[in-house]
Amino acid sequence: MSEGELIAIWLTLKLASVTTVLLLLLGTPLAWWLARQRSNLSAFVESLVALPLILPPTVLGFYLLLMLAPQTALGRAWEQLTGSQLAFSFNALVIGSVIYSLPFVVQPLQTAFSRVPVGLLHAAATLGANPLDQFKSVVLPLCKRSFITAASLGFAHTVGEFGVVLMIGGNIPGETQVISIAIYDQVESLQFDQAHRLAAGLVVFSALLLFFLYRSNRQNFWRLH
Amino acid sequence: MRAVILVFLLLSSPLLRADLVRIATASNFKSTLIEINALFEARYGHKTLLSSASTGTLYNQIKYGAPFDVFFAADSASPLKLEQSGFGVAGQRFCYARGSLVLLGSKNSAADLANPRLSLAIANPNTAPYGRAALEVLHRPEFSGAASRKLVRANNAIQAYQHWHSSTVRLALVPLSLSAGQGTDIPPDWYTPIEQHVIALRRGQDNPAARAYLRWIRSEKVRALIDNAGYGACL
Repeated sequence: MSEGELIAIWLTLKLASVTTVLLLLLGTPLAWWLARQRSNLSAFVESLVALPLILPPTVLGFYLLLMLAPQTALGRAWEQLTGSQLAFSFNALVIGSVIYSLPFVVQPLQTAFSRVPVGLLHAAATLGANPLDQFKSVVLPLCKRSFITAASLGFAHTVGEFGVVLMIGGNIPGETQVISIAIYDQVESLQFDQAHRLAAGLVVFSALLLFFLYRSNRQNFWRLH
Repeated sequence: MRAVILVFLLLSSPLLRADLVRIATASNFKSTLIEINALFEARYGHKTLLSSASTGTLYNQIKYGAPFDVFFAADSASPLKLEQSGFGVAGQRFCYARGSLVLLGSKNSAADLANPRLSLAIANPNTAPYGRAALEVLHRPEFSGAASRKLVRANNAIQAYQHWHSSTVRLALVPLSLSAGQGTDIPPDWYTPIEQHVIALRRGQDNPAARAYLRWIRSEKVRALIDNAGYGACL
């Protein structure tokens, strides 16, 4: 394995980990709110969350690029705050990935939260549990499985990203060249042997991740019934 | 809290080094540049990072803030525009190679280009200078009878070569530098000369490694490497 490939693998794992952590932090309250609301506003937000599922990555990549460019308000503010530029940086990939993988984390959590019986929460409240306690001791244990599903899907989907990353990150080794882009670069340069190595590795990794996820879901299903 | 610390640790990039030259290159010059960069690294001890795409794609990326120190274009117009718009360093722009076109999969370019039954790959004329030159060749009146042919527009010159290499198309109009001695030359008066210019970008202005790199590119040693790769001398 060459140094460039190892860097691409490291970047990919880093991007997927950061994205998953951020998505769990942002997605949990959002999913909870969506599960408990019946308003038009929540339906609107729910459709926004699902939008990355149906939009082509080029649409998302195009608007993100326009938004993150150094000439824009966001790009300028970021540069003043951090001293580094946003477009074509690793941080831009994180922003893109969080948006792109949002439905994969929010949807399983929302489904799980909407199945938590309200009576249980009321009972916990009667016993003196504040909302945070209720979440920790009632919701979290009940929805543990869905958190694992959400995190795994968010992680796997970020690893599998291509179009958005190419548009807002370019193809810069060590900064934005994740595995999917490295494979594209190798295929373009006719380095098929190297491309096979990374591509086959990604197939095996993704298949194993999904297998373990579905197997654990299945075992849990039979334990409950 | 632990999650937040983890996020910040992971966000710190390992490649923010001063002695690093970040280079963007038009795809036709990539393989040559890999050789040139290896020699540069061995000689000066600096590191290089190479990113390749079509000239138009890279031009856009640079305008949107992509972090490159040096840009090897496949034309002279893009570096000039970058200099005029302040993204490039004034006076740090020069011609490094003169490219020419080759028709792959052909022993007689005039006959094969006039034959509409032969599929043909070219680089995207909107973003790749070699694609634009290829289109000029195809627009010559003697080939107007072949306008109905299957024409594949690849993202860049390397991809056009790849379509031919994998036998997806019968012919490909690509840079001589990619042809490895195959195919037939296209007469140079069939298209506007392809002058490839390099420019130092403003974000690399204070990078001593980038300055050393540009001096190295002007050296006799590099000149010989570029000639060997199938490029002509600049006029």
